[in-house]
Amino acid sequence: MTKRIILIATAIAFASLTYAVDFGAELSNEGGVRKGEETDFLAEHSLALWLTTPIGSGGTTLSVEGRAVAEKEATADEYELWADVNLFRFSMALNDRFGLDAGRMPMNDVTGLVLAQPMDGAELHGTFEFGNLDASVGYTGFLNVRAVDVLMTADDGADDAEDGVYALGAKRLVAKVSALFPELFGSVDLAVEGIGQYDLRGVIGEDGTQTAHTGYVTASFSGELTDGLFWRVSATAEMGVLDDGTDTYSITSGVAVARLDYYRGAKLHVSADCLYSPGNDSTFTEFVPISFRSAGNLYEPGYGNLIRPSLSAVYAFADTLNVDASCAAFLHPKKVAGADGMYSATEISIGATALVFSDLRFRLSTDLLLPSGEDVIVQASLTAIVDL
Amino acid sequence: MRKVKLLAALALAIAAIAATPLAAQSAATMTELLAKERADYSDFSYLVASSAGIEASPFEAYMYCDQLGSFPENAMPNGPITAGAATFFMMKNYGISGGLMWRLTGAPRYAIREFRALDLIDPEVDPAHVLSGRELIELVSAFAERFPDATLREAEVSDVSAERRKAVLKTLEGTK
Repeated sequence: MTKRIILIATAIAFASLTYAVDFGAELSNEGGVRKGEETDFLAEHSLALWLTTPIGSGGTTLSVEGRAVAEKEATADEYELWADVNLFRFSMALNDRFGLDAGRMPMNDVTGLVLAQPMDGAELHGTFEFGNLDASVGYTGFLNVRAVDVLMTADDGADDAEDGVYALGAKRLVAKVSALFPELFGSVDLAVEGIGQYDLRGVIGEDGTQTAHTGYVTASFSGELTDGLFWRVSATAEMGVLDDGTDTYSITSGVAVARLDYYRGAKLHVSADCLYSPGNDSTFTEFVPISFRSAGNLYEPGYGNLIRPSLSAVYAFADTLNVDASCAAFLHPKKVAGADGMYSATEISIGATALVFSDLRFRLSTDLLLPSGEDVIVQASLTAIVDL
Repeated sequence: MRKVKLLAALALAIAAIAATPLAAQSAATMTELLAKERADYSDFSYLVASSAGIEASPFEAYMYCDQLGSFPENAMPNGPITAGAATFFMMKNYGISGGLMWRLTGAPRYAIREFRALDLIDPEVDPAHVLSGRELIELVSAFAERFPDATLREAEVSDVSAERRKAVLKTLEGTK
């Protein structure tokens, strides 16, 4: 009988399902040690609450996610507390072709190097025979600087130093248009994207000492080389102006990435990539993204003036355990003041994630940073995450 | 085209039933269930009892499963069965250990979450979603495939109150 039921189920199509209110919570606790010149402990405890609910009967849904965090960074002496609403999104289908998201939601560029953060705004998605077209607009001024790093000017840096539970930061208007053309040339996919960012400091709120307006254009090509082996090449050009009140400077920069991904079933994933971003010279300035991210786990600088070759692998031993390892080197194409040469640092990371129960997982991670001419830094931490 | 494919799939399913050495009555019941927009507790019980090797009508199967005491208080044989009720019944009566919160609380919300985590049900389906006949078969078969050795626990008559038995028997009288 059991076999008969399975046989029938595989012969029938999936039916559409209706959705209603759902909610939950995630409790995460991390504790660890960092050893550099000194030994410090670090910790982060967070409680995230989420909710999804239909609004009306037209298929509109509301998704909300918020969290409260108590963290002690290795370099800090005390715990800091902050809270954030990182998702408050209404999603609706306008017709068969167009969908609209509005509210606070994550916005990303195709590379993840320019824009990767929540934003208050709207995003229109279009699905066509030739591919997808998306257009979005967002504002950063209501975001909590404790949760989002927008560090384009010295004033942004001053805002970021705020230690309130909810502190407002950079006021920027961001617009994005992107197009994805799947299998445009044979098996090659093309994504093109344009992003513009306008600094509203002085227009809204107090004047700052600096304002920066930037634009980015990205082209990304990707495809499959052989069974399980995929490639991606992307190039982003950045143009803009930085005004410090007395002078205006041009921003001319970019970032390029070449990447290979190899999948062997669901067990093994190996990737190798190389990132290049120019340094300051007579032609280029350093790359300034909208969303600041460190280029490594322990390596703190961002993606400006950087060559970063890296290799990483993830292996799943079973449904409940996977291990990962990565290695990256950081080099400066333009020599930095005080440095001996191009080489800056190497970072090695090893980690393991164990799914003890379907709603409880542990993550052990260790990072080793070998900086040029400085002390080695080692960090190890254990995180427990439970879904309530 | 999609309709043709669906009809072909249904024809295959019916042919699969006909090809097995089962009573014509069972094949007819399954065919009927496939076409149902809203499956009920007796349909679910019929699948559960059949999986356990119990030959019974859907109503007899319901009476058997109801004795396990895992159906909601207001459940009736012809009442629509939800994803939450079906997953809770299976977690509760097949000895599935489940996640940490299920072990700690045994609450229905953690039963459906276990099914989601094990990829036995659409991760976004709501517990209150009323299952169609096809969805019910899909759910029970996914469970049977994932836990081929799971066995239904023995029913104890004492699990069901006399009042509840009376209420269910009234439903039976109503259907006669």
